[in-house]
Amino acid sequence: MNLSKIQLEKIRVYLDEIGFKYIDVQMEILDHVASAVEEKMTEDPNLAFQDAVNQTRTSFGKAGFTKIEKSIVKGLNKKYRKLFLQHFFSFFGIKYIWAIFLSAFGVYQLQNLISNQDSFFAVFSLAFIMFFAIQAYRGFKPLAYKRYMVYKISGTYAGYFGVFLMMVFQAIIKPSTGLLFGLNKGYLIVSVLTVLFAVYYIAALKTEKEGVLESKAIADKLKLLYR
Amino acid sequence: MYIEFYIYLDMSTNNELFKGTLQTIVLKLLSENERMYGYEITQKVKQITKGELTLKEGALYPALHKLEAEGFLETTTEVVDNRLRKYYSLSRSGNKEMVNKLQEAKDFIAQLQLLLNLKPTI
Repeated sequence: MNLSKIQLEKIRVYLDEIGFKYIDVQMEILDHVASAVEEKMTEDPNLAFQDAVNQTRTSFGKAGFTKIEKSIVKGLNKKYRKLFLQHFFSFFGIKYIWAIFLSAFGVYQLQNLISNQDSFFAVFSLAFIMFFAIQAYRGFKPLAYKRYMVYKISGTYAGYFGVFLMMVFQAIIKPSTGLLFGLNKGYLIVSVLTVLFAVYYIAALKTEKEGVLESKAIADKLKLLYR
Repeated sequence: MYIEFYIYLDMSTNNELFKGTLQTIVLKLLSENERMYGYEITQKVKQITKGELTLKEGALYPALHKLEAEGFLETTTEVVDNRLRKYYSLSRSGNKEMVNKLQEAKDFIAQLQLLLNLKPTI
């Protein structure tokens, strides 16, 4: 026998109440519990829905649900870490390496052109404010997916951008002196860090985008259910 | 090989022996059933082993998600019976992994037979 929409909703509400808030996590546990309940009720047609749920709940135990959630989180972390690293290192392949060197050269020349670290700091700060405005806009945009574990995990990398920025700031405020390969060491460090930051951020955004797409795919299916 | 594998599982009702071969079992079942969902896998194991072995969800899902994260499984989500259901299927690399893991299991069983002087029942 198949459970009705109302019965399924009761299981979903129960999962929500005991702390399984993420839709994609709920989805997988819900299907497993519902399948088990359906089987129990098919084997014993006199078994009431609530009794079947209680029996299933006992066989799972709260630890059972938590273990499933933990495995989902662990699996997603591994999957998205792999994706992020793939995106990050793809910039150092033949296809993009010229752009990396060209960008680093551009930042180096910009510092040379301004030739005053204070002015460069001002330009960099302006770029930072603009960047923050974009980041803030992005923060509001995907609210629709905040209840998806996959979205949360895929967005982790974009959240760490501040660490890189602090390193760049530090390099600008306290520039290294001297020459390295005949080039200004301070400018060189800032150039390399800025380009690495850009690559990191693009890779993080690409990773997040894949998480959004995965969340959207589930959200679209959910819409089909509740239309 | 498949029969041999389950002879080994049938010989032992100790689920501890299950753990090391869980991924191999999941991969093998998926290679034979194209795509399956979590509950279906637990029921299939129960059916094949005539209830001798129970695959608990607390063991199954970590194995499934690990295999998915490693790229051995692909997933699709569908609306079935008024709810969303996640189906697992083997990826191309998952097929290769299944062959490797099955060979490993076969070799291991052969070594066990030598060590414990077990005689095949078939």
